[in-house]
Amino acid sequence: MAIAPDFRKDWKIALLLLILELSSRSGKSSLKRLHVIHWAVRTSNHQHQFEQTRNADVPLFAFKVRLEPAFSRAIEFAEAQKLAEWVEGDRVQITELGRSLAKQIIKNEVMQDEVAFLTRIGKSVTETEAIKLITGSRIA
Amino acid sequence: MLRFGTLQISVTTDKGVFGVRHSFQPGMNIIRAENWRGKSTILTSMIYALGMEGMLSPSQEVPLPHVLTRYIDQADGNANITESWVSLEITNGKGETATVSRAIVSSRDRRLITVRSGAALADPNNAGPSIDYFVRIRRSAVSDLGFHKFLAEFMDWSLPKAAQFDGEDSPLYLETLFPLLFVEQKLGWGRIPARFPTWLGVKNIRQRTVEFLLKLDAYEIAEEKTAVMAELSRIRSAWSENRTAAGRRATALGAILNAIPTEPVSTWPPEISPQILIPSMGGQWEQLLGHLQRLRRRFSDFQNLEIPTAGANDSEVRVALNEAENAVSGREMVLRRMLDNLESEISEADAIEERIKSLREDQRKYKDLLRLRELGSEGPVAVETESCPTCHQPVSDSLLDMGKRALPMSVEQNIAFYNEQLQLFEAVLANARAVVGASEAQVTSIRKELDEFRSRVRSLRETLTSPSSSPSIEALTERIRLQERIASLEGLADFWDEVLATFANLNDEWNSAMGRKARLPKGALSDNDEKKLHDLQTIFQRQLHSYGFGSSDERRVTISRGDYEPELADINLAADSAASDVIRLQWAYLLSLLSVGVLESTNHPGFLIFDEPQQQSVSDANFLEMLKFAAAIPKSQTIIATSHEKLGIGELARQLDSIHLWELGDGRLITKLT
Repeated sequence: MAIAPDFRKDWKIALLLLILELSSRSGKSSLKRLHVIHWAVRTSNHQHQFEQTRNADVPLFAFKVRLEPAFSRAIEFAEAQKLAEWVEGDRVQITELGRSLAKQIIKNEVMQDEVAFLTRIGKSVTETEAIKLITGSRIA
Repeated sequence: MLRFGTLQISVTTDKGVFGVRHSFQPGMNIIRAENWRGKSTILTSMIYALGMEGMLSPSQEVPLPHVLTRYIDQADGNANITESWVSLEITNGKGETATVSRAIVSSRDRRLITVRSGAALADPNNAGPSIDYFVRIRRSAVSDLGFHKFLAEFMDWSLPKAAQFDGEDSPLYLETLFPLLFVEQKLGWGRIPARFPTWLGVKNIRQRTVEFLLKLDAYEIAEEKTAVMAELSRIRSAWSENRTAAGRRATALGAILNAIPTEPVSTWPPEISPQILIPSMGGQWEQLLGHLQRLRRRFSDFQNLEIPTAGANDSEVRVALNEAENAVSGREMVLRRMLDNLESEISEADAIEERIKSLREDQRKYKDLLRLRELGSEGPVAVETESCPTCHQPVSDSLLDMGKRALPMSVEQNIAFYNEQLQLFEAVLANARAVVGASEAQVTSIRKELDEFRSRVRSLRETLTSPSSSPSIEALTERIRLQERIASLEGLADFWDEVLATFANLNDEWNSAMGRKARLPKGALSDNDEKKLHDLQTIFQRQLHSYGFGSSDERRVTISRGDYEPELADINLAADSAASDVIRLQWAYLLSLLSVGVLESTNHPGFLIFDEPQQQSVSDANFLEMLKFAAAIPKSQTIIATSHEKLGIGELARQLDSIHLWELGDGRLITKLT
């Protein structure tokens, strides 16, 4: 059975590490925020919609965040492999090991589109904004 | 070819003039001395005299020790250097000799090299005039005043162009070739085949240099390959431009192109000859020329008829008006249906395009995924995909909950699957676009008909209301309409002839480019290249055997047909060989290049310089074996500096006539002259 590359374990884990490394303060983020950014970086369409929504070019509900179970599973796998860990009860933080892998990915210019997008948004997405984006679809 | 004659180093100090002078002979020259006596100084000063220190590093510093740059320590204190020079005689294959001189310490710019024709050191009375050239600055390899251009011409070398990492082309710099001719002591040993300067930015430096030295056809073959590919792609794009231009012109007149191959073909005209088709009644298609003939016939029929007056046949006009009005409403219905159709066809094509876009994105992700896994297998961190990292039970390589039955494809299978999908969808898209094109042509043609019928209705009505003695407006406009249509279709027919002529020309060019492609050898090498590389390999293996190569059976060490370096079936030679074997490999490789270089038609200048080749405690016996082999290479000059013990070398020099020993003993190299 053919699998979309998005649903390969190492793809999602790599994506998680990149989000933590490039787009989270001190490599740490809440689960909600991770889901929002993950949904934003997933495809070029999502990336476009996300940026449009943030620039307020389109209404808030145009970017419909989906909390993808596969991403949650990837977080569990990453934790089991000591690439990331849970801290302060509800936050995910990248480990040294995870960081070295993320750096390798960036250095070797793999996943360039994703790296470019995450670098572009940087660490600017706040927790409040993440919650706004998740609930935005409900306001509609 | 290049031979070294007399070398002279002269140093002026506040305590008198110092220096050294030595004449190198054809054959083998051994410079023997204890350590710290200045053997390397001699060899490095030769490199410096040729402005070749760029092969060692990008630095503009003089690569020579303090005895040539600052002071000479004497029993009565240091003698401070006020001026120092190195001069070297070089001879080429035509027997011409030139003497090059370069300042080490002087008020003169170090980037100047003075060239005198003739052996100015050995025979100063017969030396010719001198010219200054520059080195170590931009363009010194290409300018007429650049020393390296002079040196290349002196050796009868025409340096090929080499691609640079920054995309520009440069000549293959001499600095990139010298590491195969001169191995310096400090960093030169320990890499196979040698250490190349990377700062010059020349791409594929290893292949390019060996190709040039052995005069392999491989480089030209590669060039020709690139040129042929560029030509083919130029023709391909001209072809498709021509096709698009013709299509646009035809569509504007409600016609479509048929049977023009999308890609250039080998036979022209093709079996089904290309045509322009025009929609005719009842969903049929008609050829342009046939259609045109029919219109012309109708027009000439009209011309034979007198233009009727408005009142001549009132009732007939009424019937015609009725018919025309019916035709308008009929055509309008057809047009509506067709537009609906066209819309759904377009949206289908768009959907396919969207699908292809997302397939492409997924494909890109899979390529990244493969590289991710490569990183994992090379680097310290790998993401486990086959088993659970906590309990080590096998788990599927997917994050989807798929139940137990469905096994996910492997990444490679999945990539193949996507490739197939892409091919399929691209074919479907091409087809969908063709359908859209044909429908558009039909819509245009129906619209034209509709316009004609409408204007016919208009003119019929005008005819009915105009005075009965005036000429029928309907009859007049129909004639004008027909005339216009004929004129524009004739224009299209002329244009079509030009298009066909262009296709025929492109076809000729295509066939000649394909012919060039067919003449290229199958692989990257010509038969001649194969022979040279085979000889290189044979000589190489024979040497490895006699030098006591121990890391593996020497017959398994072959010369790569890709980068011409020694390779051991699927093993990294540099990592898997004992350090002393790396030295043996290097001796054998460079001496094989020299052997093949002098025995066959190549660009090899026929000299080789080794600074302290007995590294990594290679045994004395192996070392002497290497010297014997090198001394036996005919028509060559080797210069070898060594601190090997005196007796052994002396004995060897006595046995072999081709060895010229320069024994420095434990004295100093630079001695006081006056």
